[in-house]
Parts: sequence; structure tokens; C-alpha cells
Amino acid sequence: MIIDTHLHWPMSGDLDARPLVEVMDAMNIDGAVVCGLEVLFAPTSAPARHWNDRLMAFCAHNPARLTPLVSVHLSQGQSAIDEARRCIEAGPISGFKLHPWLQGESLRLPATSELCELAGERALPLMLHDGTPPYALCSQVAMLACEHPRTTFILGHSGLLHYWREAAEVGSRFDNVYLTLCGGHPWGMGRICRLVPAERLLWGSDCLGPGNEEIIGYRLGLVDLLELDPYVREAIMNGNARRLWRSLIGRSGQ
Amino acid sequence: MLRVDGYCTIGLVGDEEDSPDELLRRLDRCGIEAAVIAPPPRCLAWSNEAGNDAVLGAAAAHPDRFIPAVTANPWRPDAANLVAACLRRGGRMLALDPAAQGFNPAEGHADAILRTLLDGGLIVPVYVHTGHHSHGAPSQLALLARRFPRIPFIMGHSGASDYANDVAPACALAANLFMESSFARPPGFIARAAAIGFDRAIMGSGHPYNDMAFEWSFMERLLAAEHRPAVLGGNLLRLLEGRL
Repeated sequence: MIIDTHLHWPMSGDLDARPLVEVMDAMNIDGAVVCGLEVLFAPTSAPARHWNDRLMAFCAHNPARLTPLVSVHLSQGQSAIDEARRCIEAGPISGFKLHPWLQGESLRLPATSELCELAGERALPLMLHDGTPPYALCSQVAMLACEHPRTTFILGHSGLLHYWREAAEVGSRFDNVYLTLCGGHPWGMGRICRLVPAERLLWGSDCLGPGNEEIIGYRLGLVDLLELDPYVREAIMNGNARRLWRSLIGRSGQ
Repeated sequence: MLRVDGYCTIGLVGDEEDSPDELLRRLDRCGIEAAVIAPPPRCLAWSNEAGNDAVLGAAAAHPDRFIPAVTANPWRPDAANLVAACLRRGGRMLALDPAAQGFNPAEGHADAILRTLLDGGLIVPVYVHTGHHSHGAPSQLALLARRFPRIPFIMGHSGASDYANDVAPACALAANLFMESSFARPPGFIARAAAIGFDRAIMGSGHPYNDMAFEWSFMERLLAAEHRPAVLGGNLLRLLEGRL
């Protein structure tokens, strides 16, 4: 069984979730933690609320297979926190996603700390794009993890291609940080698996939506190449995600 | 169709030694005729001579299989002379890694090497690692390439991953700039090759960081048959023959 913990799908068109579920079926993926796309850009066309509502509605079509990660724009200060609280009430949601370089927002904005505390208080993980300076280094997430020990942080890329050692250092030092095998090369991912406790590793495709489905097979193939004990592989591909997101049932749990 | 892997690393990578013989066996298993071989990161950054000796030695032993890419850290006062000497010993490409070697290609640190090569008639393809850090962005490489329009530059990793959107504009800025695929994920790489031209795209596996067989099989499955001869070897061989 496989849970894709890092998957994007556009929310500007038809909210029919069946095409995504068909892709998941074809790839033998049981569940997906879904983030939108448009909300990760500056809020010019619509506010975060618009995209978050659409994402929640999209996932509600098949809650056994899909669960949403909503996003806010930290630069909007209290409005961002209000939107996060609203999503929690309107949910269910599975946490928050921040993409500091796409959203153009430093993690040192005042709203960040409040969002981290809110996420910790509600036991909702906070996933971040990572591996890209100057706003999204693994070590910058580590600073947040140190400041907010109740909150679970997820490195969405485990340092991508060039900062995987930094990601491994963060993962081995901070118990409240999970690493997603998503975006790295197998050589680095294999070493992350040796250095970071297996119970805090996840897998994700970073599929960007229709037309980008090939990346799912590619990233599944990369993990298949890793020499992992069967129980570690099961934890990465399935078990850890189910433990982290208890609301995510997945196909086999229906 | 001749299949040539555009970038492999030999030597001590992290805690593992990858020997030329092992690479040969891997090439044979994958049905690949030849591969560019380059020194590992520590030899790109510091032990340049050791890395250069290793790739030149391996290529001398297997001249029909290995294409040696030599290096020198541009901060070395003797970098230009070291590179020129290695090219005269059989080096066929220059490999630069701005992140490992600590320089910004947009600035002038590597220019002395390149001027020396031009003056000495030693024009070879220059492979420059790019990536999602601040030293080695495609835009920085494009500025370097524009300063040396007679030299072909290969954009290693095609800016993977977060500079992917800059690849096509960078190639538009410099006609002597070519994109290489390792780390760049075959689906996205092929889409960008379609935008800038398949005659400017070079397949590289990134071995041993990537799995050679997996990368080649994925690329061959997605790449249209009409583009395979160029991307999977022809474009690189053309540059090695001195034809831009």
C-alpha cells in the first residue's frame, strides 16, 4: 500500500476528483495528501480562502482516498491565521503547506510563529517546500522546529538534490521533523534512510497535476531502487503517513 | 545509434568507491557505448590532480569507452595551466562545479582558464554543474557562455530542480549553451528540450548518484524515436568534434 504525501492538483478547473483517483489507481496509490497549486502563488487571482475551499471540496468527493493540506500567505499577518483557523473549523484538513519561495514569503514573518503554534495545538503537521535558498533551507525549518517543539514539521523534499545532507542533519537532530523522499537522487535518499529514524520518513511524488503523471512512476521507481528492509519500506510508503494522518484511511481501510 | 552517457562520476563518492571497471560493466549491461567520466566532488573542489589522473588513466586504458572530463578549481593560481596540461594529456572536456568549487560563473573566476584554452587552441565542451543553490544557476552560466561564444557549454543537470523555469530563457540567451539531463527528471527535461531544440539536449545519467539503467530506460521510453539519436549521444559527439 502506498500513500503519496506530496501531491499537487490544480484547483482552478473542474473539481471532479475522479481523474486524480484514476491516476492513483493506475499507480497503485491508495491515498494522497493533496495540496493545490494556485494557492502557492501570490494571491492575485483569488485569496487563499477561495483555493482552500475548493481543495477541501475536491478532497471531500473521496475522503477515503484524498485529504487536503491547505495553505495561507504569511505576509497577510492575522488574516493568514484567521484563514488557518477557518480551515480547521471548515475541514477536515490534514495540515498546512507552505512554499516559501513560490509564495515569496520568509519564514521569519510574524505570522509564522502563530501558525506553527496553531498547528501544534491542533496536531496538524506543517509541510514546507525545502532545499531552496534563501527562504526554504532545511536548516531554516530546523529553527522553527526548535522554537515550536509541539509542532510536527515535514520537509517536503528532504533537501532536494543538493541539500540532502542538511536535511539528514535536521532529521536526525529534531524528533518533530519528518522527511519526505521526494525530489532527491537515490544516492542521497539512500543515505537519508540510514541517518534518519525510519519512523519519520515519508514518500511523495510532487506530481503537479494532469500532464505530469509520469513523475509519479518516476519517483516510485527511484524509491524502488533503494535497498531497504521490508518494514522500513512499508513505513516510508504507507505506515508513517497513516500514523501521522489518522484521518487518512486509504483504499484498503474503507 | 551510438549511445553516450553525458555525465558519470568515478572515484570516491561519499563512502563508496566507484571503479572504472565497475562503470564499464554497468555500461555494458545498459548497452551504452561510451560515457563522460568526471572526478568526484572532493576532486572537483580540492584534489584536482588526483581526480584528473584517475579519469585520464581510465580513459587511456579504455579510449573507446571513456570520455575524460578534467577540472581545476578556478581559485587556483595555476588552474589554467593545469587544465591545459590535462587536455594535452587526453582530456576531452572541462568540468566545473561552481557550488563545490566556490565561485559564481557569472563572475570572472573561470575566465582565465577559458581564455587560456582559446589562446592555446584547446576548445573543448565545458560542463558546468547547475542546481538549486546560489552558485550555478542557469542564468549565471548563460552570462559566462555569452562571454565565450566559441566554446560550447553544457548546463549540467539543467538547473534541477528549482531553476527549471530558467533553462529555456538561459539557452535563448546563449546559443552555445546545451542542456544535460541528469537529475532533471526525464518528463520535464524532454519538455524543455522541445522548447529549446532537441539538438541542444544531452542525455546523462548522473551515475552513481542516479541509477544508470533506470534513468536510461525512463528517458528512452519517453523520448520520441526521432530525437533519440541526437539526445542519446549524437549531440555530445558533435560538440566533442568541435561542431557547435
